[in-house]
Amino acid sequence: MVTTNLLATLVPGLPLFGAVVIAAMRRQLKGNAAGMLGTTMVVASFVCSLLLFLDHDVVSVMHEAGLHQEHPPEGASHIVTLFDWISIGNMHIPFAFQIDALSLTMMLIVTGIGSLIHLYSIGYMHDDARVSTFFAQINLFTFAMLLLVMGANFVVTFIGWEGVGLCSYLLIGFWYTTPAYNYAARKAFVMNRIGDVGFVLGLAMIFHLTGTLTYTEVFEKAGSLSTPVLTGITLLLFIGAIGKSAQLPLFTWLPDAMAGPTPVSALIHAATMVTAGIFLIVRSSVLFSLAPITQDVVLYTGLITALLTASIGVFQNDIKKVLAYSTVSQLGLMFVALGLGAYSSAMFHVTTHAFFKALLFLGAGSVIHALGGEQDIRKMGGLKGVTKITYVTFLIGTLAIAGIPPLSGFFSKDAIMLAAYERSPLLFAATMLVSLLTCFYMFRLLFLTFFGTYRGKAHAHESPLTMTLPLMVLAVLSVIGGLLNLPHIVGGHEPMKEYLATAADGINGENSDMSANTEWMLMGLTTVLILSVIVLAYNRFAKKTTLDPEADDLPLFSRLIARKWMLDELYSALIEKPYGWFSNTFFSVGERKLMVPLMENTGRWTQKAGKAMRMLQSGNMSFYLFGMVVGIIVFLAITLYGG
Amino acid sequence: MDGIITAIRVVPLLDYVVLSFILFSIGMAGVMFRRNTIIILMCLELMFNSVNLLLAAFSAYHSDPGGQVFVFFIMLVAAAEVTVGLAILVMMKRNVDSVDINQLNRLKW
Amino acid sequence: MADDMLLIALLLIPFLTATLLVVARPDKNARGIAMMASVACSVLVIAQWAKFPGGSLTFVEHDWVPAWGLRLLMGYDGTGLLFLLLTAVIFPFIIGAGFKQPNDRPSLFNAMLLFTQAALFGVFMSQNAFLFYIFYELSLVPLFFLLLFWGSPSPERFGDRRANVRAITMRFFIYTLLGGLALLFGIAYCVVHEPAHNADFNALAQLHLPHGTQIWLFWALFLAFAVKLPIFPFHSWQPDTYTMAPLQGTMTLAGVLLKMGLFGILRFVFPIVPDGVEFWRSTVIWLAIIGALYAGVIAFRQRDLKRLVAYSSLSHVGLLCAGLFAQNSYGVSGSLYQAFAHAILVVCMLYLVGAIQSRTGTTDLDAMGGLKLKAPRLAALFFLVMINAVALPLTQSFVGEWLMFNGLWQIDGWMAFAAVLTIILGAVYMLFAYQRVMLGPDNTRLQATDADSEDHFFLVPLIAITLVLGVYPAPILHLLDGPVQQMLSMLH
Repeated sequence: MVTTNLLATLVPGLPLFGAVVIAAMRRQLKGNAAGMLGTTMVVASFVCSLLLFLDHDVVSVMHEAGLHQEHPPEGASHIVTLFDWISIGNMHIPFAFQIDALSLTMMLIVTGIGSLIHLYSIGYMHDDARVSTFFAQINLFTFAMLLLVMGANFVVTFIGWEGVGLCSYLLIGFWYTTPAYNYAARKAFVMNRIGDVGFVLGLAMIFHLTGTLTYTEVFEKAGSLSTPVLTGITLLLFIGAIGKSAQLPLFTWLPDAMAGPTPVSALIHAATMVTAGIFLIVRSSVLFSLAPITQDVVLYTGLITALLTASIGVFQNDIKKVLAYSTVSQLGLMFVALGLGAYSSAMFHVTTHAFFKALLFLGAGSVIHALGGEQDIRKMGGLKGVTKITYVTFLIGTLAIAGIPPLSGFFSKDAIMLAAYERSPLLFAATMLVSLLTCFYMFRLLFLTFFGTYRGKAHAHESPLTMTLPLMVLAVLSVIGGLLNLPHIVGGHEPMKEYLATAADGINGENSDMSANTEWMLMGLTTVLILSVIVLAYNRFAKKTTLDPEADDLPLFSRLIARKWMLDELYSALIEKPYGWFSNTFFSVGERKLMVPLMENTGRWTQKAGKAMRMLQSGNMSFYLFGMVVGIIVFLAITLYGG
Repeated sequence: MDGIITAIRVVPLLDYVVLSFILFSIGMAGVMFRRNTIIILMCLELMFNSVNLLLAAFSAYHSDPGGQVFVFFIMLVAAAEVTVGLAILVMMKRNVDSVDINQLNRLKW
Repeated sequence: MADDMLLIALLLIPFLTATLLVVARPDKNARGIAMMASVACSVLVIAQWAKFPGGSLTFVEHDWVPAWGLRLLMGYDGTGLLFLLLTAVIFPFIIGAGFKQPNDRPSLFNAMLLFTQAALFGVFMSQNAFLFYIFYELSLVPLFFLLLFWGSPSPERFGDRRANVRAITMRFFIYTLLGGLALLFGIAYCVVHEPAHNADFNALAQLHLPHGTQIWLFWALFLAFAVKLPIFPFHSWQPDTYTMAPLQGTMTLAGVLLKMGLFGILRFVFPIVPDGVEFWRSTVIWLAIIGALYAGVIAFRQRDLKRLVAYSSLSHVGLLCAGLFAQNSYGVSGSLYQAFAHAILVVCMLYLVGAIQSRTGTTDLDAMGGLKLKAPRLAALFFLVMINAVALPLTQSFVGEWLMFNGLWQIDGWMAFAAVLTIILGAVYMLFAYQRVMLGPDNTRLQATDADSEDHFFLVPLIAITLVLGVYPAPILHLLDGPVQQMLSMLH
């Protein structure tokens, strides 16, 4: 027990320590020192998580207790309480961690991928003057993200939730002399804040109705809440998830967030932070399972987002923007899974997506690094001969995200699509469309970048080992990641699902009764379609020697898509501009014309009244006396006869 | 002392009241409507004395010497007041060469 | 030292030091002397806090005007101690902020600050309505002079043609005084109707006035505090005054003086007119929240950094008032906790305004930008203050706001919704301000220096307090829990 507590404290504690030390000594740490220190902390944290994971062998507990029971068995989750944080009246919010299958999975992803990306950053950020600041911030991010996933109650999760938002703000605007980057950072923070409103209100509602915010206690009481109430709570929480996980209508911050350094895009805006919304819903799966309306909302929000952003991705020319839209689209797919109640499939996709999307981003970073900062894929091409490791790993990532068997993406995406098919074939077709679009723009990206002839000017070179090593590790993970949750049909027994079932209620209920034939058929169909899309993309893009036209020269409908369905313009016209107008008007009219004059007029009226009263003070003694006498007489009369 | 009280009691109380009311009204009218400061001062004295008369009369009828003590007190104050008042009057005559009370309205705002 | 002597010392140390400063005018050492006096007070109060046993303590008890049943009654309970602590902690910093400010009459200036401090201590220790009122109005006098003699109008380019120090001072003074008169009337009315004509808070709390009376008396008692805080729509003195006042004057006003409003509501309005509060509650909460949103929206497009801080303070205060009127343990404790947080926050913000102004020579946001290139440490400090301003978790403000949101939800979900919207508005204007001052390319091309040791000496302790109390709020919450529960149990 003592070691569990210590390890659980060390997991977020080490990155925090790293962040504080690096921030405090950023002037003393020269060269790679800050990067080394930061990386060491996260690696150490990963080791601690791993030890916890091995120590916390719940699957055997499950087997002893008998599989497939209604609720997770005793001992499946372990609470580590550090101290009483907010305690007033009936509200007791301890600063506590919950160690169970779900948080351990996320901890391993965060620290594992985090370690690799830290290592990569040492090479990537090597020339930057503020490299220490970068590592301090990214370590702080790791700390916040760990709080988010480890929290034993909603409020500790919320600390992490806001913390990652803050770090995201800092890191998007890392190169702060460019106003556009600052704008992107601010946009990300504010849009997340809009989601946070839902989150905070959801928590207030939960507390009001159940009197607690600790996960285990809330979920125990969930059954006694009425469905409308649960729908309200879950919708509010979902608004929070929309903000953080960049779904409609709040997704527009994520593509802009690519302003940050590429490792940041990989870690925060692909692998970890943006999956916080999915984590939150899986964590609260008890509540969501009881609110069917919310589940439908989740499902269709995810689906529309996935379709919309996949279509935008086809027309992007910035290598990171393509990946960003792809991320939003994949997150949409995960929400589809959540909406279908396939929580373990969503988590599985979170995991594999973390592998291959981190890989793709780091690969893109390596390309950008190789080309000296060029991000426009129209000015790339033919890089497969120059940057061999990057090319091979990027190819593996692309194959994984496209869903080519037997790479990890195939299994995780397939699980979601099968769940969709069970609901309705139409839904399956829609998810299929998403994955075909994904496949198309990813291969477009791949072919334009690495095939054909080089269309740029800068001198290309391969990246150093600190950068390529993480690429190789991630590539291996992307290949074998499918083993984590190998479906029954190919001989696996879905270990991840079994593992997660010990943490989240409702995962046990997702067993499908689909026949093996149908399953094989759908898998085959998917694979054939994807392969044909690859061929299509190859014919269109692989031999390219000329630049694509600018977005403005495209046909009308394509231009609309390339302009992100005009959503940015829409928000600007509907929200930003009116808000500025209100701000100015409230000040110039509300304050200057209404409030202040109202009060100053009170003063002016007093002065006027004074002027009128002044006439009485004529200075004529007799008049005063006369007034006095009349007054006395009136007063006497009142006293004598009035009473 | 008793003789004086008896003497006072010869006249009915109401007569004293009426007389002092008349005297007071005359004094007040004078203060209110005359502009000559000397006359105003004299009218003030008249009002004082009307009150004194009333105090003395009530004191006799109620056998309470307190009233007569007040009369003396008022006389004393009145004497002091006249001194100050006349002094102001002299200064006024010197400064504005008039005893018209309305010449003194400069303190008005 | 006996406790009653200690309390008297709290009044006398600042008062006598101030008198000394006025009489002797040691202009060179004035700031140092004032600093010593206020630090001495802080030490006393912190010592009291350390040994505070809980409950309500009365230390000074003397007949004052026996004919009217007036008594000198001084002491404090947990909430009173919180406000004392707040005053004691903040004032050394307010005085310290003046070390770098140019000042032609430092003796008088610091004397005025110390007079204010003495009056504030008096207010927070009063357990008698008249005593409270006297100290309450007394605090206005030194501030009046601070504004009148040391105020500077904002330049006309901010579209403010009324930027006239005298007019603004008078507006502030008269507005506050009028509110005070309403309060005086309210107190007088209560005392007359109290059987023993006793003005002690304890006696007034037992006064069960008829329902109809309470409904109008509520406004007589509340108006003074509504103006002082201020809540919408009684706020129109505030932005101009904050903008015009000398830096330390604004710190005093926003940091401590407005907390008298909260304290007054706790001491007067809640116990004396509970029915009135019940009747007007949703009106007041909605006014406060509307004000918070209104000010938050306005702050976004302000060009003057100081005015932006003024509106942000207005926005925060609206939330404080709403939380307080929620009248449950979360709302009230949250509001009081946030009062502490807000004091520190606003003093830090204003100090930063001063620091930025001394470097760039302006408070015009349009003329700034890229200061982080020249002054990265200052930018870091600004950033740390800002995360407290937007109430990020693990800062002090979060604890307060979180409790208030929960308190408001217990009353009405829509109120909570409207109140939570402020976190968006706060993020919008604070980040925008930060960006316009610190980030972007270097617009000013000034030879600005980075934060020096004095800046660190001022800001780092305050930031440390906000972080420590954000991570571990128990010391303050523990202080509040008892009195708040007791007060609420008396209400229901």
